[in-house]
Amino acid sequence: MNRAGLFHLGLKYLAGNRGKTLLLVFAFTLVWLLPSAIAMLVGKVETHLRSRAMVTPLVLGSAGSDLELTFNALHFTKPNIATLTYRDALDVSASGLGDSIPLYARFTASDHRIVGTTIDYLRFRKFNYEQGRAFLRMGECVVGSAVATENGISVGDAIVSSPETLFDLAGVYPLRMTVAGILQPTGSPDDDAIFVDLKTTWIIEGLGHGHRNAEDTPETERLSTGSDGVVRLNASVLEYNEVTPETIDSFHFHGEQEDNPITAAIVIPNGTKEQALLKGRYASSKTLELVTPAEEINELFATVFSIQKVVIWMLVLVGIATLALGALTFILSYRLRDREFVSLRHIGASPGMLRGLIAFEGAFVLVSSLALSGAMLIVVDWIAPILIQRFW
Amino acid sequence: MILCQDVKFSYPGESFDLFVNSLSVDKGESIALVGPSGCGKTTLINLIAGILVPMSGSILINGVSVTGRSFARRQAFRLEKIGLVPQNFELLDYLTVSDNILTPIRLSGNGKPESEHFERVAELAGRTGMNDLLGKLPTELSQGERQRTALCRGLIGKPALILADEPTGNLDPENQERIVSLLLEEARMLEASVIMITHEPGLLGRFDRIVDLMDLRKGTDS
Repeated sequence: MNRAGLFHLGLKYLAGNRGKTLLLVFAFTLVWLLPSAIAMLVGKVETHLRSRAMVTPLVLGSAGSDLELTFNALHFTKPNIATLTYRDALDVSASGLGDSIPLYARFTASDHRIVGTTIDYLRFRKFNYEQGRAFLRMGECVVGSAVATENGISVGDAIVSSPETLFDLAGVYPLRMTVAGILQPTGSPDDDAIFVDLKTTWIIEGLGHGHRNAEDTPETERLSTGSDGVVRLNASVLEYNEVTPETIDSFHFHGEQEDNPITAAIVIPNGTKEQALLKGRYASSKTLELVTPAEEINELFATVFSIQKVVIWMLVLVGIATLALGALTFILSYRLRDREFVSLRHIGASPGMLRGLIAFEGAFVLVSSLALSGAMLIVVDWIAPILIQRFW
Repeated sequence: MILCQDVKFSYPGESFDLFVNSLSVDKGESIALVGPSGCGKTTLINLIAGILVPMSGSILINGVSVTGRSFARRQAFRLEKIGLVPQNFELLDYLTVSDNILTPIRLSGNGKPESEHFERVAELAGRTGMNDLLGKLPTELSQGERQRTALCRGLIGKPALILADEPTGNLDPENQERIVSLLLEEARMLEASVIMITHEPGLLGRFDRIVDLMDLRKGTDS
């Protein structure tokens, strides 16, 4: 038997029937690829989520969904979770059981989350700066590497926060923030975040504001000046949308800052005993909860893995059905090719040659689909971090 | 060269039967096999080629019994020694003319370099006027061109015996003459024996001998 000749004939047949061949290769590729790609992606997502959860000891938040709180504190998603007060975070530090880092991850700028926090967060995550420095005052921000790359931002540039509701006059006003620093890539959600001082996010929310001094306004913009010297202004008074060295003194908050909202607080207990005490302290709270991110992620993946198992079994069944259909296609096509095989037998092909020809064509489709799925898995492996960073 | 002795064959479940008392063909001899339709000319060609196996009797080619060999060895023998030109061309639609012609070589893999085979294809194509058609598929060819492709495929392996089943059946007189000339000329160069089935009276004079299958059935060879 001449193998090279058989391979040549087989390849010519496959090329001559390229539509059928491509369809089979594509179907078989999906059979191999889907379960492997799902397993790979889930594994990578798990590693990604778990690695961040492992280095975040505890998270304090308003009572509600533990998982949503974890995601808000670790990945800056779920912006609409119930808030707690800044005072709640300060209470942890005041207890002497540990430190707390407040987080207010609700607003966005250019589709990137604005995370209001303190300088402690930047130290806690051990950030390194590509350019610039940490934020030092209200209105300054530090941007993640992806934010800088996507928006072409350098230190000294400005980012404007996105208005939450365009036509809500009493709602969130855009605030122009100056970029004080750009972080080095971390491969975490921090790359996609804009970090600002907590007060900056409260200004964006409208809890604090800056405007021209009432005493400095011209008479035309005043409603009245009382005999007690109190100036009343009309709506035309100039309100600042940027915190600058010139305007910073005019920014102020009405009410106690400790009562302002945050979405979560990272809690770093002083030790194992303190961690247990803190958990016990909040276990009975009706309004607050203290969660362990690692446990939440474990629970999440226990569910994900059980769903994944079902999905993979279903894919295996679909795969078996696809392979059976593929085999049926081969069998039917060989029946249709009966005349061709008679011709080959008349020329002198032995049964072994014909079996070899069929085996080669089948093997070609199988090997091609395996190779293609392998190549696509490499691509999935390559783009997985990008997908994970974008969606988680 | 070829000796058929008391060959008897019938298809299972059919009333048709063939009996050939004696047929001998010398080396280099060309024979026109004639006879009415349905008398068994194609069956006899297939028996000599080893595609069919007789119920009884013997067929010897160069002293080697075709009938006594296993199926696989008969196939190998055919690839090596016999050039078959079937009545209905039996070309593979997904192969170009060139690849169709080369099919026996590809199956047997006679160890010669590819370039030598391509030279032979070019030579045969040149002599049959197929030079410009080597890259075409059979579906793009006329009946005559397909017939010439099948003939080239039968001759590619330089066979010792050429069995042609009405290779001129679908051709105009000019092409009939061309095909038969090429077949006989090639056979003379290769010193190959030829058995060709034909119904064309005008071509009979080109052969060394005319054998009527009806005579063979009666026991007379010529």
